[in-house]
Amino acid sequence: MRTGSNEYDGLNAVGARTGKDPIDVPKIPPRLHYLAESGNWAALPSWGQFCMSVGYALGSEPIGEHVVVIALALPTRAYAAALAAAGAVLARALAQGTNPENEHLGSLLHLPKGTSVILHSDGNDLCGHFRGCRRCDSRVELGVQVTRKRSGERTYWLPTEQAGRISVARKRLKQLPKNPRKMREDMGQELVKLLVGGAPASSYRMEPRLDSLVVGPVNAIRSEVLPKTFALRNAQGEWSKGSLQEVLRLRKLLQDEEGYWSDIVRSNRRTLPQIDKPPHLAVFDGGGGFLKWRDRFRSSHWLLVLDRADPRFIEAAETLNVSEYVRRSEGEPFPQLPPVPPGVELVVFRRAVP
Amino acid sequence: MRAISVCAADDVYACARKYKLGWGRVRHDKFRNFCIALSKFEKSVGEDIEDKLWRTFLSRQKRYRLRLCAVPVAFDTPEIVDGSLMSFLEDRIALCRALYPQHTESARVVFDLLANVRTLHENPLLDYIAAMSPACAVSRIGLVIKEARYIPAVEHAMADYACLRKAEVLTPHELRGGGCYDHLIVVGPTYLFPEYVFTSPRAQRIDVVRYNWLKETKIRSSAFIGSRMGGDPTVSLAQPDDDIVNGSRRENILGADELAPTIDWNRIMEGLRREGSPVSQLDDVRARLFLLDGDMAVLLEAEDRSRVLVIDLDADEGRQVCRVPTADIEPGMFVLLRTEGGGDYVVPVADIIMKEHAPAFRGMQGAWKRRLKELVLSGGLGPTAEKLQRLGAPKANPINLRNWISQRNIRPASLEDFAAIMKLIGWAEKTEECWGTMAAIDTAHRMAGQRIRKMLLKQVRSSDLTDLQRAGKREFELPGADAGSITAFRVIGVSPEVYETPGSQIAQPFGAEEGPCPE
Repeated sequence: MRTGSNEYDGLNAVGARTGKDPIDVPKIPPRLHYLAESGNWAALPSWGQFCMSVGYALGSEPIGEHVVVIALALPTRAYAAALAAAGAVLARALAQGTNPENEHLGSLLHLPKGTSVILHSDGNDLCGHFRGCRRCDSRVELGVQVTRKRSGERTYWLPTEQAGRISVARKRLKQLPKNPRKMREDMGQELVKLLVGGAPASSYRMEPRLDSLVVGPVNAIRSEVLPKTFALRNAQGEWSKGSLQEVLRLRKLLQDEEGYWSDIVRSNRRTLPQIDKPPHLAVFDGGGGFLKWRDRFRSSHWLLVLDRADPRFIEAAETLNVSEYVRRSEGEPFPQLPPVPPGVELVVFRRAVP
Repeated sequence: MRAISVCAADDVYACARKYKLGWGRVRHDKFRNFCIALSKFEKSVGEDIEDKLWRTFLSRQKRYRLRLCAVPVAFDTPEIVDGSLMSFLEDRIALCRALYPQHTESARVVFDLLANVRTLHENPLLDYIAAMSPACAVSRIGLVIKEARYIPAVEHAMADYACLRKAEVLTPHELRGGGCYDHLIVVGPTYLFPEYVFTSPRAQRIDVVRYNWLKETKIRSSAFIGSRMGGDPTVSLAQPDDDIVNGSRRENILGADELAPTIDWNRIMEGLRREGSPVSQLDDVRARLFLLDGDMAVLLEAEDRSRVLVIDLDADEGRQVCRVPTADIEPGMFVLLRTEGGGDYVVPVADIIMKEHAPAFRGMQGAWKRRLKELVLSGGLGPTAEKLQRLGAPKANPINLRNWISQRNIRPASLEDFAAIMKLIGWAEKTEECWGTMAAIDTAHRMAGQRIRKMLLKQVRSSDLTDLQRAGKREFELPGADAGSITAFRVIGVSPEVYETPGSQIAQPFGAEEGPCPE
């Protein structure tokens, strides 16, 4: 529906989403290295790679009429949920294809006018409002209204090729700020660029999505994901260092207005925050969170990480056995998982989506 | 749980990978004779066991037996031997002659066998452990015992053994984190310990040392139906079958139900009720029973809005001291109870906040509740509730009315209910003044609760809580708070049932006759 000579409704815009480019998504995630006590980089132990692979497999598995439930009983909960969630997020990022900008452009073209957005410009990030699309000559342009210190309010019209400079703000701005804010880049990009491959850094400031939601001990997970103690060797043989948070982009640990890909909530909250769309994968780090909140995520794949010394280990395991396993669906088995490491117990089954 | 490094986590997985479980059996004929005789006597008493005379006669000896089966100290260690035990038992036997002559001789036999043992300065468990421990002092050895309160006694005993001087004495709670050992020695049969001690090992070698007349139970290695286990399936948690020796079934062995019976919650409540004084049922509240570390128990209010201050060492930093609903209290948490003065630690702090107004405010609170209670006692809960409804109290019913009378409840939630009460007791003209006063008390209570929580959180953050984790109990002094001392007790068990109990018994820890034993 045309609303003006220079405006465009976006629904039939040139450059709209054309679907994923077919790529070869690896079947297993690459093997990260971690910073050992010796100060050298050591390959992630087999249990860590296993957890990441489990998450990767769940991230790769589409949700249709059934979801997958995987439960792990472990000698320690350490890093299991964080690595699994990172694996899931990685799988979903890779599955988007090498041209994530197309999907991003598609989402912008459907964005309602007035949506709070961030415009990335010359090292500064400006808060603004989305002004919709317009056709100018033969090309489609996307408008962002910002306030600049010298020039006041101004609308920038960007060609669709520069859609990556626009990302949806996490918080809604009631009015434009008087002074544009410069966003601090507090996370590196080396590791995630190497893992996902090829996409420019700005493409990660996309419309937020919830690939995985972790329900568990926030502080413990924070101390696992924030330090830059993971690495991968690049094509030149050098170590690209980073943190798991680079991959996870947990909303709770991000600066405002940055695109998130996953989130974490405490398991002993009285209520859960409102979630618009269920996560692809719900990771329950501990029995308490599983027992309390599992019914909220029945449309998501589940990964239950149970430390055998968890005070609610027995209760959670029995609940899984009695309430969930008995309702499993027969049929297509879950894709092959890597061998279960010593000390780990795994159960996997499918359940119908309610 | 606390975060650990990837390296530390890898050490834990390494233990699981290379884990070996060994079994040590210890002989001691005199102690064995006492243990078996006690068990046989209990069976012979039959239905007479319901008599308190036999229950106490048996329970104290069973506690002594359990301790010595699970704590590697000498039989005559003061911390294990109850100083009054022998005189107590002799009194019971004297009573037995008159009341149960058919059991007197057997009771006397058990008593004599106990007398033979309790004066022995012998420590067969530790002798065995010392003999099996590697001579190399470099190894990191942990001795795992069931109850933290005996750690000092065990450490004292270990000082006599050169090869054990560097060994650490641990409780199962300390095996939940990332620290690993070269060798763990678990003292007592496996069923006395949480499964994770064996299924989530913190050493590549674990030896279970127990007396050879104690039967083992199977350790369940898999938790999920239809699961796959990682690792070498030939590494088994199966115990040798102690029942069979040389092809014959052994006699005179004690099973788990004899050594460590399950918690009998009703019995604990009966013991409390016998000791308590009869009070009006108006003061009764619904409460849940909690078994605490150190043979203690406590009743905590189980109403929907009831919340208790706890320390949860597994919670995120900053949230380790928090108020949780009673229904959310789990084993492993520490409940905070006032151990000096009355059960409520908030009231004295709230009085400090109200300063010079406290006596008058409390006086007004007590006065209207007393008047209301008098009306209920004379007219009954139901009729009084109906009268209040007619006077405009929308929520008046017998349950709410009982709460409004209780000292544990400051005021009704709504002004309409309160106004109706004021009319009923003839204080209609004081409604506004009273409502404001109750609001002030309510505010003072909230502020007191926050203040206490902040002080406790500060202490929890700044202090080494290893001793709390080890001992299962710790006292906190709150300077300037006048709340007296507040003690944190670890919760061992939670009763599945809820009991009606006088409000005066809420949050008052008491000695549980039944000791803490696993289900």
